[in-house]
Parts: sequence; structure tokens; C-alpha cells
Amino acid sequence: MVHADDRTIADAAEQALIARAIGGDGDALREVWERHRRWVAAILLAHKPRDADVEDLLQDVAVMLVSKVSDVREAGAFKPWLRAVTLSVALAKGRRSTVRRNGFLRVVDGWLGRPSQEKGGGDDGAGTKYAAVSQEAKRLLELARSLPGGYGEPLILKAVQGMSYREIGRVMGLPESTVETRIVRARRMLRERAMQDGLDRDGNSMNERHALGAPVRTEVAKHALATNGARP
Amino acid sequence: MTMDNHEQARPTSESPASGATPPNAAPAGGHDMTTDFASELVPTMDRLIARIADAEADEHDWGTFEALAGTQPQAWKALACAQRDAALLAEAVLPAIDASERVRLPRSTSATLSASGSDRTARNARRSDAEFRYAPDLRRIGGWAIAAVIGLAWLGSMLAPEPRAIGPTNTNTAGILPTGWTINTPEDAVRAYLDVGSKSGRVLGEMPDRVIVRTTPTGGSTNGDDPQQIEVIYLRQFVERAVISEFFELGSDEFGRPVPIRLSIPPQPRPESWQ
Repeated sequence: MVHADDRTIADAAEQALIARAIGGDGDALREVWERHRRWVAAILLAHKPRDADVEDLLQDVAVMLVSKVSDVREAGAFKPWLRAVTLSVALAKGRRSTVRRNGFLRVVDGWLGRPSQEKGGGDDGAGTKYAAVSQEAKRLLELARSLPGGYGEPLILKAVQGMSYREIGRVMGLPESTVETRIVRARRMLRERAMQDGLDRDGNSMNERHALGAPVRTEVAKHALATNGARP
Repeated sequence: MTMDNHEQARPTSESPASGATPPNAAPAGGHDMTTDFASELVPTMDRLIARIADAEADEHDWGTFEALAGTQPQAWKALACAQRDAALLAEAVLPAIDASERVRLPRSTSATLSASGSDRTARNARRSDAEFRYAPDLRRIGGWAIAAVIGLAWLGSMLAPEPRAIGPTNTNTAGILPTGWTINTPEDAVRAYLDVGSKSGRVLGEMPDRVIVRTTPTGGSTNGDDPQQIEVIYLRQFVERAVISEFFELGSDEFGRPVPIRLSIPPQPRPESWQ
């Protein structure tokens, strides 16, 4: 676990970097972007229309960041501001997509060629790499995206390596405890929807293993150790 | 995962002193549950499982979980499910995270931000030290200028005397092209497409706007003597007409894959102007 003093020092350094970026330092702004673009991508993933490309939207966010960062009042307000920019980009894309869908009747006819192949399950902008993601993972992501507002986003943000409840709270402008509560509820809703959706293969296999008795506990504990690092 | 315990606010080493923190402020660290009334409604086991699955659990959480799981064996299964969900979500999110690594800030703009007005050499060096894959700043800031250039070029080609393509005419175009036409350039081919298509009734015309897809600097000297050239990738849009009897729209199946869905359109009376 990171010591509080170390965290404070890191926070101060980051605030200084953001302040430089707001002040017009291009190198600082580039570094800020490289530090934060991962969770920006996760927020886009949580809110983008299905047919939108994350990479394209990230380009839009990058442009907004460069052109508007000087509007940020103080370094402490930067993360919620960047989240708001990200949301506006995703929502604007959603409006454009709706207009496009309503404005055109897509025609499928032999001589006009095959219908446009949208990238299934909502594209992530990673092309073939996304194809390697298991169907189960894609489906679970779709279920997470369908959770009620305020629940899906922190859950998807938590899937980004290195994002703690505290960090998510800073991005969303929420207390850490609220983030945790939302994630707890989101996990429960997600599991319920996954079971309804037939995505309970693991649960079934666990049932089988559970019948064997003690090994379940050992196995899960090992998994938890691997996930959490040092267990007390 | 139906547990009925509710966790009490547990003290943490970083819990703020009473009255030292505004009610809505984020706690300095740890898992302070006193700032969120809703948190009291979340069962303890759910919270513990989420913390363990999210790698947020500390020693106290583990101890509490093990104690509760001793009387509720299903807790281990719930933990396994939560960890599997977390792993699957991380797998699904990873490609988007990888994609984000490829997106850089518009370099020319960020260089302008950091370089002073008199530091032209540094600015030009920054601009040319590496190509940037996309140039959305150019697409937006200079979009009108690029569109104007393309528009002028297009207009110029339209005003050129016809037939403008003079050259070898060994291409066999009998029966396809109007008399006097030859195809030596893409513009000739487009012109022929528009002409033949309009006569057949299929092609109605070309939209005047061209959509910029990508702009990429092609080089130029670092001292700024040579003008910077920009490669522009753009879309041309042609309007066609078709008479069809079956209509489809793109929907998605239960797996989220796009599938064509047949539309039933009620018969419409023909407009009076058609009769």
C-alpha cells in the first residue's frame, strides 16, 4: 500500500505539472495528456455511441485539451474539467450519430454492395486487437455500459490499471466513499445482469468445483493474492 | 451475494479529525464511510468482495472477510465471480487503453504553446522533429483554408476546356464513354462517371463539400525557408438514385453484431404530380 506521505508528494508534483500545463507549457501539457489519456479512453468507452471509434474521439478530446486548457481555473479542477470535456465529446458524437441514423435510410441491395460492416460490439479503436478480446469480456463490457448513469463509468474506470477509488473520485468529483459505494452496487448489478444474460459460466464451474470442498478456497485465495499483490 | 451485514465506519489511520473536513470533501485516504449515507446501505460482504476484487483491500478487510466467509461459504464463490468480472472488464478495456497510447496531442499546437514568439527555430524544430499521425488541429483550425484550396482546384478543373485530357487513346472505352472523351486522369474518369451516370438517371451529382479525413505534413526545411506542404486525405461524395422494392436497416443481434433487418413499408399513394 502506498504511504500517505509518498502520495502527498506525488500529488504535489502532479499539481505543479498541471499548473505548468495550464500556464502554457507545451511539454508539461504533453506529459499531462500522456498521464491521463488512459482514463479518458475509459470514460469514452463508457459513454460513446456503439459505432463510435475511441481513437477518433480521443483525437477530439486532445484538440479540446490543447485549445481550452487555459480556461481551467486551477490545477485541482483539471481532472473534473477534462472529464467534462470528454463527456461532451462523447455526447456530441452521440447526437451526430443519431442524426445520421435518422437522416439516412441505409440501403442494402445487391448492386449497391454489402451493408457497411460496423465493428461489432462497439469499436474500441484498436482494430484487430479488439478481435482478440473474448466474447464474454465484450459482452460484460456492454452490460457495464448499460448500467444506470453514475454506475457504469466508475466500474469501467476501475478496470483501468492503476485507477484507485481515490483517483476515480478525483476524476468524477466525488468522495472516495461514494465511488466505492457505486462500484459495489455496480458489481452487484453487473453480476445479476450477467446471470440473466447467461454469462454465468464461471459461476457454474465454480459450483462444480465447490462440490469438491476445500480446494475452492485455496484456489480463490491464490487468485486474490495474484490480483492484490501482498496479502496481509 | 445476499449478505445482510452492514459495515460500521471503521477507523483508518488517515481518517480526518472531527470537524476538520467539510462534509462533502473527499477523504484524504483510506475508506472513510462516514461521508456517504448511501454507503451504510451496502452490505458488508459486497463491499469487502469489491475491495478485494479491486485490489483495494487492506489487512482489516481481509480479516473481516475471512471471518464472515467462515459462516457464509458462498462468499468465496461470490469473490471468485467478482474477480472474474474484474478480469474480464480489464480485458475488454485494454484495447481502448492501448489505442489511447497512440493518440498524441496535436504537435504543432503544443509546440506553439511552449515556444516564444521569437524562438522560431525552436518552434520549427519541434514541428518537424517527428510526424504526427493525425492533425485534427489543422482539420479544424485550417479546415476552411484547405477546403477553399480544394474547392478552387476543383472549380479550376471544372472550368477547364473539354475534353481536357489529351493523350494516348489506346484505352478501349467503346460503348462506355461519350464521343470525344478519353480517360487519362482520375478526373476524366470521374467526369465520365458523372456524365454517363446522369444520363442513365443513377447519378444525381456530387456534393460540393469534401470531407477532410486526415492531414499530414509532408516535410519542409527546419529553418522555415521552404513552405510546409500538407498531404490531405479527403472524401468526395456523390449522390446516386436507386429504385428498390425491399428496405433494410442495420440492427444488431443478441450478440451486438450488426444484422440487416427488413423494413415493412406500407404502400403509399403516388403523388398527384406523378399521375
